[in-house]
Amino acid sequence: MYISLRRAPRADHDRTRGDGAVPRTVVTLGVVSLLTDVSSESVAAILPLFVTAGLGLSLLTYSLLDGLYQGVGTLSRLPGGWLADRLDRPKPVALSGYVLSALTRVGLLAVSGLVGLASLLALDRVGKGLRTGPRDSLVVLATPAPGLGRAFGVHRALDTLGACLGPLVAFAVLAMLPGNFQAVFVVSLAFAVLGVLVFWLLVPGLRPVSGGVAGGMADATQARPRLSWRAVAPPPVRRMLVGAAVLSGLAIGDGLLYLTLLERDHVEALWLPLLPLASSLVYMVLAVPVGAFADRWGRLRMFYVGHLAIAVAYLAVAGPGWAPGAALGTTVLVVVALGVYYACTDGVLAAAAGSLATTGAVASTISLAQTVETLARAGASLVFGIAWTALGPMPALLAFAGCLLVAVPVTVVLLKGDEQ
Amino acid sequence: MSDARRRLALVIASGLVVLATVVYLAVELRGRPQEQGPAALDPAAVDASLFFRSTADDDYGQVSFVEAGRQRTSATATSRRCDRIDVLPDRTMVCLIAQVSPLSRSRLSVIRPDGSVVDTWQVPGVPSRVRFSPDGSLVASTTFVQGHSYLQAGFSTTTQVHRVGGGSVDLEDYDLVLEGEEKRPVDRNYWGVTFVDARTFYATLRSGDSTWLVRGDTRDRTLTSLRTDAECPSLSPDGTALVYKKRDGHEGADWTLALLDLRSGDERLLGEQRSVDDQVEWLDDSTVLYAVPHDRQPGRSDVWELGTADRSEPRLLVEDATSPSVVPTKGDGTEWQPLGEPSE
Repeated sequence: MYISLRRAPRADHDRTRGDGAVPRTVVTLGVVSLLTDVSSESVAAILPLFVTAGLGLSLLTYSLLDGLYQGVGTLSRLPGGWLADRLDRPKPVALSGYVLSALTRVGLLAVSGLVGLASLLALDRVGKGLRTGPRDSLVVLATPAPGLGRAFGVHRALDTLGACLGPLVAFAVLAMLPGNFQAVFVVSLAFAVLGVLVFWLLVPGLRPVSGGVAGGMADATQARPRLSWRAVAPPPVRRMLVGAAVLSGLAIGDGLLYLTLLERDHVEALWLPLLPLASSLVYMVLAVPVGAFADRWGRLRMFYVGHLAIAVAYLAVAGPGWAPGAALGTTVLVVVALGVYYACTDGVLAAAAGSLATTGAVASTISLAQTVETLARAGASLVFGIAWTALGPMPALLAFAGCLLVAVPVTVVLLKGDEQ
Repeated sequence: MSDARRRLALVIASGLVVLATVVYLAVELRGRPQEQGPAALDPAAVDASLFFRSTADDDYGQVSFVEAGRQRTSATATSRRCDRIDVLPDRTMVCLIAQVSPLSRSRLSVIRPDGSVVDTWQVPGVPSRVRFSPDGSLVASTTFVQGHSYLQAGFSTTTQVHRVGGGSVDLEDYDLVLEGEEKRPVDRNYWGVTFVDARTFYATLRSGDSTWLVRGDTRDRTLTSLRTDAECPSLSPDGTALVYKKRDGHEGADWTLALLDLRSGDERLLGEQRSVDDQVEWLDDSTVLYAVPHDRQPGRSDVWELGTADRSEPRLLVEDATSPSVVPTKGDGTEWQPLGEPSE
């Protein structure tokens, strides 16, 4: 867990070339995300069991409540990024997000009703929303510009590893202590606290405007950077946002894509829960090489072209199902394509946004880009649902694939990035 | 703090966190109640008349039973763990239990009184309901599944009819006649089966924001809607009435139990004022049983009984129990000794 500690000491801001070692701060941030994801995904994995067997309540009612709180996490991203830039202190803002999420685990130990449970998970999402932009801006601050793609790749690979380990940890605890959901929550809390400790004690309080590492005392009289729309979204960033909105607006949610596989009988309902895990593994393996490649090839171009992977997934599902082994082959193709899509877009978008952002507005710009992407994907899922009802799932997939095949080259040509 | 001191602080603090967690887990492991009771469920040997899943500390999650005219004691727990059960008069039991794995599946088993497993199926999701057909040839299971519908975020239900010694059919693959028209709404969702016989059953359909009572036919694989706002029906032993939960019921209750007289078609609300989220079990032709969760203790619930006659009041029957299943006793008549008056 503390590999980063045992490495030969090196300065955090030394200017390495893009192909040099990944800065230690980035690895530390990755470890923090790993611990935090083990914490949150262990809870998420046992939630259905906890609600039904633990609380003795209905999951349908829970879904209703949860749906109401869905948007909260997305909307808290913008204030998180804005606050980090406004105070010129990303670290304390991100820390507050980590602490808030850890506190919700304490609440889980006492929760007995659905409203309480859904509220706690909503607060957890607020914590995640608050910390994401500032945390990603710390990755940008700690990394020399040419290596940003790879740095985010390393961070996201560790993050995804945590997401895969979380369910295993949860079920290992439940296997040891059948029915003891409290024990899972205690273990989840422990991982969250470890994440907070590593972040608080090992991540330097980098300050984008004042420069260097923050001292103990904030200088209240110091002039705060103004955060205008122009600073957060200069013309190159605006072009990137348009590209992200258009392409992510054609990328339907993973759940929907898996559902089309179920609809075509390509996968049995029994195996459905395995697919997200498999995609995550593909993403985890590809995040670093794809990020490093994006550094050389162009991060924005990578982000745009990555959407072709999701078009491949659409075409695979909607394509002919008669070939021998089509069901398994299609399922594997969709799982791999989704992993590739995430490797090309998730960390790469943050890297592209970070390299295009103006000094003092990095957290805001990254938060804005991620919010646009999330909202556009939610919109895509909404439109796809309507198209499914109107046309049926396969014509809807073909229509979305067709739009992507046109939109990707157009975006690449028209919205070329100005990043270095 | 210098870098070295920060690292020292981290090592000490995280060491304490890990130590505290390990100690906690060790204490929980040692304090884990030892499973007790007979190795195999042998209900044929006892004159039990009510089986249920215990939510008491001593035997949490284990199938337990009460003998006619007796109070519950911890000695009546078996070592069998189930989340939902149904028991036939010959003490053959169907057990639905969530499997502890990231695959989010449940196991459905039909178990003979001697403990031998007749048939077993894997079903997706976590347990909600299970019922036998009266002759024991069919089992209906309802589970909560995630990501099976694009119109509803989160969870929906999957209901399957399993033939003992044979295959399973999902109710979503049945033909549906909704309000007199053949339809196939993509967001159709079924739950809560109760069998009339091995061919006919009642269940719940939801599509959009409405629920319907539907009648199903396992031979023709058809479902026909009968009326709206009726969930988790349960057929009386004499086959003349259904009790189900309604959204539109008593003030302040999410669900209210209602009785439908199948001969006259009249529906009336029952006397339970609290919200009930359960598929009731009939004790006799005029009494139903159901679980009500404790207010402040997650995972705990009691089984209550309620007369279906007008002005009947609920009565606490078995503390710390859920998923009740009634079987006829060897003697005639079932004398119940309640555990106490309803306490608030």
